[in-house]
Amino acid sequence: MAVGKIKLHNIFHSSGQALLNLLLEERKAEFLPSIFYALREEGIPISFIVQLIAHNGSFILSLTTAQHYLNWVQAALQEGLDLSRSTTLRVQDNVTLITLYGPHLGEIPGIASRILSALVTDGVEVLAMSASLNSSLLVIPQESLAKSLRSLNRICEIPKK
Amino acid sequence: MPMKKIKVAGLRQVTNLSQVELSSLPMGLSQTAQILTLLAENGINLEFVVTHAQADATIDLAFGVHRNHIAAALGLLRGMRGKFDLEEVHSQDGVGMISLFPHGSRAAVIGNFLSAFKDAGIKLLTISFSLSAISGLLEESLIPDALNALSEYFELPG
Repeated sequence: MAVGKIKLHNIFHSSGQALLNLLLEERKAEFLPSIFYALREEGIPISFIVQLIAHNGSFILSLTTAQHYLNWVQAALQEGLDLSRSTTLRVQDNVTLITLYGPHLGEIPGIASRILSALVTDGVEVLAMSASLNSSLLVIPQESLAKSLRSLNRICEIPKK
Repeated sequence: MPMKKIKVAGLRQVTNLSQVELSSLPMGLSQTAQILTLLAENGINLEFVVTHAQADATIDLAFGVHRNHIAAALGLLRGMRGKFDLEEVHSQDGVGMISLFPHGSRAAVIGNFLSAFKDAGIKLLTISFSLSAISGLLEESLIPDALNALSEYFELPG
């Protein structure tokens, strides 16, 4: 059965981002609000965040910010959470955030799988993903942007008005 | 420092969800894509999907399904454990999702969102982000408490 393209309202992308991945003890999560307030006071935008408490109790956080704010955000997390050297705070420079603004994820089965399958087929590494409600956010290496857009345009279309 | 209330354009709550968590999937996402495809081909809709790369070059995948699909989803995944090289399939029933559709500063929204849950002593199982909303997954029975707490930080509609 032929499968039609996913009809989107739009595709946005924002390059010049940095991705921070953090694995920490759950009890330290209580310090996160004050860190985000500090970021807000400095006018530092957070363009993407996902958090997961794993079944083993570990607290996993991924977020992106503009590359030029990386040092500030890294220092805020390091100091605000009193991270030891053994705590995993990984940084990936020069990533792009792609946002697919389209149909509600819960209403049409297979959107996330088609998006990921298309990117995987074309060898794009998806560093993080959050898909809910009417949008899918993908963090990819910046150098994969052109390839990613080609992949996504193969399975998605933005109907002309 | 408590922030002033942030106006939100809308609030959405979904109940009767189950969360499924698969950890330590191989990097490269082909298995993740295959897993999601398997669910889609069997008509299982996902309310949200979150992936996160680990330091050991593996991927954690968490997604939410409606409770009436959880038995089928777990059956499919456990039946394919060998093919997908899954260590464990963890699930939690009785969860719900609250989504806030805010205006303005994302960092302040995240700060207020986390503060509300912290004040109420409610554990956020997962946070997902979309273009217009921030969503938190929590134990369904705690949704009324969460809404009370959120009302201290956000001007909720209605």
